[in-house]
Amino acid sequence: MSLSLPALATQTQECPRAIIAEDFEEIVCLYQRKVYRVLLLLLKDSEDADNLTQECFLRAYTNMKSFRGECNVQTWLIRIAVNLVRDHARNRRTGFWNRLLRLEDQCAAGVDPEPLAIVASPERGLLAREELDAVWRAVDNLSTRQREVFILRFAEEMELKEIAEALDLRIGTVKTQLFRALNHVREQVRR
Amino acid sequence: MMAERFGNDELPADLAARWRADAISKSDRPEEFWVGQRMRIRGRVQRNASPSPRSLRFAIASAALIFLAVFLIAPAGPLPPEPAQHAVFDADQQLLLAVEHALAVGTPEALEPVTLLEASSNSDVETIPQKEHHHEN
Repeated sequence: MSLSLPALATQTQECPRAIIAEDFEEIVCLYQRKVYRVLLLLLKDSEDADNLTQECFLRAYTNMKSFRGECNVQTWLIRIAVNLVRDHARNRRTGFWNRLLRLEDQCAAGVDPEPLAIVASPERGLLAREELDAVWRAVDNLSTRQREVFILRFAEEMELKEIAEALDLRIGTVKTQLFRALNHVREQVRR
Repeated sequence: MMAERFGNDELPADLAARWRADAISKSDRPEEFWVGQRMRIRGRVQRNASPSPRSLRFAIASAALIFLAVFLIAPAGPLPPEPAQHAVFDADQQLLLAVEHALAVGTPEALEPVTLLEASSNSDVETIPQKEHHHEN
């Protein structure tokens, strides 16, 4: 039995249950943008984000039977995605060569090496733009854990409980990490 | 100006909204990208879900071939050291023992007729004087 998109969205977000294979296509449609966005913000590389998005859904499909609805589907997918990023980061050699190659490309193109540096927007004021740039710089300088928490809180607007479930942390730890991250961002913006 | 608007545990709402909008716009992709990504995911899921029988057969055949090759090429085990001198010694020893045994037993079977001949010739010698004695009588 296949569920309609709105029905699945309601079930997956409010009334979690086990996933059946027929739901999978709809789950991909519903969450691929969100998963890709989280991965892009964490990895800062669109190609890696695309590959890991595919890997994330492949793992989700493989482990579909083990999903028992303890959390909602979004949290479950974000947890898989974050774990993939951590695995990816552990591969030092790949990371090193990717960074090196990207840096070389950017130097050759004469652009700012910050991968997510904001391109100036004519519609916004210069001050607002500087504030936003300062936040991005601050986020880039956060520790891995703080960046994960910050991105899930402010880019995905997830609740602290959901963040704790996605990152496999206690809520107290999430609050601490978020507090530290915000302090860092505040300091960066004040400069 | 911005710093004063910061609370203790939250970004100012307008800055958070702008930052989120910026983050979303950075990950924005054309619809073709999402369609293509869904196709790639579907392809990977299908490949992962059903290993093709052809590849399974190929894997089994390869494994059997490798096993056979290893079985044929690899020696059965370490060769025993060549007991060349021992063999010569054993053969000599055996021959010596056989000779001693034959001598101990008595006349070899092959020489049995000679023994019989000898025995019969001895008996002839003993009987001839008796015949002569009969004639005398």
